[in-house]
Amino acid sequence: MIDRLLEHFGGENVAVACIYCDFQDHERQSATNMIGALTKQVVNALSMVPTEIEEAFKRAEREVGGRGPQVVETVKLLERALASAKRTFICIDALDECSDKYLPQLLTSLHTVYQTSPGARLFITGRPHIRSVVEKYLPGSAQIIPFSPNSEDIREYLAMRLKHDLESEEMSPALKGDIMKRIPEAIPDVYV
Amino acid sequence: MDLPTLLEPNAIGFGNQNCFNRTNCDNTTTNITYVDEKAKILNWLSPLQPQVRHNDVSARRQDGLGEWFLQADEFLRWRDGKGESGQTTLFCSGNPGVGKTFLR
Repeated sequence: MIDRLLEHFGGENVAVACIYCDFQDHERQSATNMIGALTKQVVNALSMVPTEIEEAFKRAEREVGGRGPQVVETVKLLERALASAKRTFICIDALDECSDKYLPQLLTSLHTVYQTSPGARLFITGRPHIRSVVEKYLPGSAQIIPFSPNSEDIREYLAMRLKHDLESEEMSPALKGDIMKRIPEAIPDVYV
Repeated sequence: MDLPTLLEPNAIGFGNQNCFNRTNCDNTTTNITYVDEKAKILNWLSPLQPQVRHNDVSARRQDGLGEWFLQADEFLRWRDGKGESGQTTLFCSGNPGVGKTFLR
């Protein structure tokens, strides 16, 4: 998704930023760090660091010995970064893996930021149950598309797995044919 | 600034580690002081490095998977900003393992 957006918009001052939420990284994935990570990626895509961000950094270095930005400040900095990019795409993968402690703050902050950033787009993936949370915190702005692989996806995936299977040579063409035919028929929602 | 001219841009955390947008990443700027300062600011903004995970996903991804999704009208309208006004968010919902992360 990210690479596709970059290919499509290549060289048009378009920034793409992402976060991969992870159950195993809750401690580091605070709202502040996640929003900061988005700002960081947008800023890096810009040719110049926006003055306000540079000043905030220098202030923090001077006043508090280099302490990282706090959540209210990171939101403002993200807004500032978005204002400098022509268009921005923010992708958040596996939102349901975001810690409950930080999820409301993350979405509320993004909602605030998006009110003032007309060129910004947000892409979220997650398990179906997180839909109600998305609708609650991003009211009216979210379009939901259920994703499941189609039969062509499943066949392509199986072909790839068979090709790389260590015991591939021991399987007869008939067995491979059977696998390619029966699995797509039998599994409506396959796991890749 | 501690002798910034002695540092290669990549040695101070700048470059692909912090960035997808290769057009800007690989600029070999002669202004090393500015690059050094930018790297410091980026590191200050957040210790997280989602690009590392992204590179891993890119390497394991199979092209063509979920192509229908990336050709869908809903996706194209969202991408090109032609959706209903206010619909800035696309939520791709699905069970674990169906390939959402690996959309190409």
